[in-house]
Amino acid sequence: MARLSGIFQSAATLREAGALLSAIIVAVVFSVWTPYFLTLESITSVLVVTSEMAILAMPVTLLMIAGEFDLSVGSVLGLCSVLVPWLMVTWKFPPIVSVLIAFIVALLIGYLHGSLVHKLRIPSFIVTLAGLLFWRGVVFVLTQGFPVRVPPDQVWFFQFFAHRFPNGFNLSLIWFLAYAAILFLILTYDRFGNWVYASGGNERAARKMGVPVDKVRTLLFMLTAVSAFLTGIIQVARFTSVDASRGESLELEMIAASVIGGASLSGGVGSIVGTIIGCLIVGMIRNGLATAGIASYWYTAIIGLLILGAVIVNKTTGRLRTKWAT
Amino acid sequence: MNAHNLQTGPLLEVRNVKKAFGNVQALNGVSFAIGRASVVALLGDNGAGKSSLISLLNGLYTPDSGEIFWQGQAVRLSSPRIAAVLGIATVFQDLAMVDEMSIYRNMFLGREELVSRRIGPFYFMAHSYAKREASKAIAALGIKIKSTEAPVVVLSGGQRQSIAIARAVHFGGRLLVLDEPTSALSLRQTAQVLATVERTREKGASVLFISHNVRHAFQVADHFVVLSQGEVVRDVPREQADFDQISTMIMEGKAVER
Repeated sequence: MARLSGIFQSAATLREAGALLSAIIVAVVFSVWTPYFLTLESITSVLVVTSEMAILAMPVTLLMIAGEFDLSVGSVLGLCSVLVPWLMVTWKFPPIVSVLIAFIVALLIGYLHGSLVHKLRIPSFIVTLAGLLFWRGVVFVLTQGFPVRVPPDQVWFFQFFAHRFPNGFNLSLIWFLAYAAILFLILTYDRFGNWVYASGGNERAARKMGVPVDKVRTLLFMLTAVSAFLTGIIQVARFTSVDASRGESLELEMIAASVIGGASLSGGVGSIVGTIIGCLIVGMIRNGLATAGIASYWYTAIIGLLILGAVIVNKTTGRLRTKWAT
Repeated sequence: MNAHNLQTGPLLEVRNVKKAFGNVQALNGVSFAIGRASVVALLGDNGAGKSSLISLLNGLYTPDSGEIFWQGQAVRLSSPRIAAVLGIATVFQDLAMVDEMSIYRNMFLGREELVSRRIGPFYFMAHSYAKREASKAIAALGIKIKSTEAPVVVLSGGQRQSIAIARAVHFGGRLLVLDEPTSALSLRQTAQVLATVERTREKGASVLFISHNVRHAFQVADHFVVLSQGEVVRDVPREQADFDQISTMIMEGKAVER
């Protein structure tokens, strides 16, 4: 009996325990509700959605841990995913050049956001909110409201990003796994990870100890922008046509996934694994509702309730964790 | 006083230092010395000039006039970096620790390269090694911690303060400037910090114990300097220090005739 409670204790002290618990609850609920939830088709669908979300959500989490927000990711994703086919159609650039240009644009946007935040001392919430509106505006100007198609003879190039295999798996899963592995290693083992947690946990302390807080944050802004670019390209590969609303409302979903995964809005707390679990939960809900035949109108309401529920679960496990650690 | 004291001359000497901030003459010709392996209490009420003196010692500001000598040589502490390189380590009231991070990560915050393996642009921290080094540094000052993996937030105020001191000592602090180390602590936590201060002296480092609490100072200091309105009004070794007289001096703000 004592041994069992010991295992229970060490499971609960795992930082992501709260998120894991929420994930198990959601999985069980949907498995019971509809038998189709556990089919291969359903599972691969969840994994594909999760991996695409996570590629963007992980850097958003890192930035949140470091104490800043990026509300512009949806618009940057929209811009990059529109830019590529637009360059190919309007300027007849080859696909690789168009992709490269979009990548550089993303880097510059990220650097711009970071610089505005730390040089002009404007809160990141404001800077990226402005970005959200501005870059979306650029998308509207470029598209004039019409969708942009990748020329059919160039579609092959994008298979590199998101080739769909017969059994339902998608190449984007590999991209996600590689990306997640790199970010996890850096956050956990590299000194940069230490700097990220310190910058958000106690900015004054970090600066006093010599951590280059502003450089860390600017780098992370560039990372979120580039991740928006990567996710955008993956979506271009999947749908081959992009319209002006691509990526709308994504930023809130990203923050929701981070918070569900245990990240704190005030910074200093969060993890890669937690965010992946958060994306998994959102993916399961999206897929589960569709499989159960519930109208997608419910999706938004349920995500709202989920965020609340997940934060309560996380807070409770967090308190238990502190109690058992002392 | 200290059998390990093989070198002569004070560790730090401040000579006739003056500093004004705007219209306020914060320090008006302050002189005193800190010996090796010695705990000097710098006492005074708020506004006496203690904070100004700290900012001069850790290189945040430079004196308008007067000199500072480190191990007998005149130095210009023109930046916090220079002060730190010399061995003057300031432990601030807010401790510069990140609550949610573990003790060992806080220990090497900003200095991760000392426990990292460098691969290109990456500095991969050797976590087991860092934990061991952190445990050693803390144990060296007699502080009892269950595990250096615990986040700083679970520690008591006294433990946190002691670890901040251990950090300063571990990174070569020869003179530890402690800014009000016991002000926010309970009796038991205070005892812990004072014990750490004594162990620091045993290790051969000196401590400038800055406080407005005379009682705490009397438990550890071997020399007392009383500051009032930017001037030194009393400068005595322990044998000649009178608790009541010094307490009154701090409150009254001037030398009291016996």
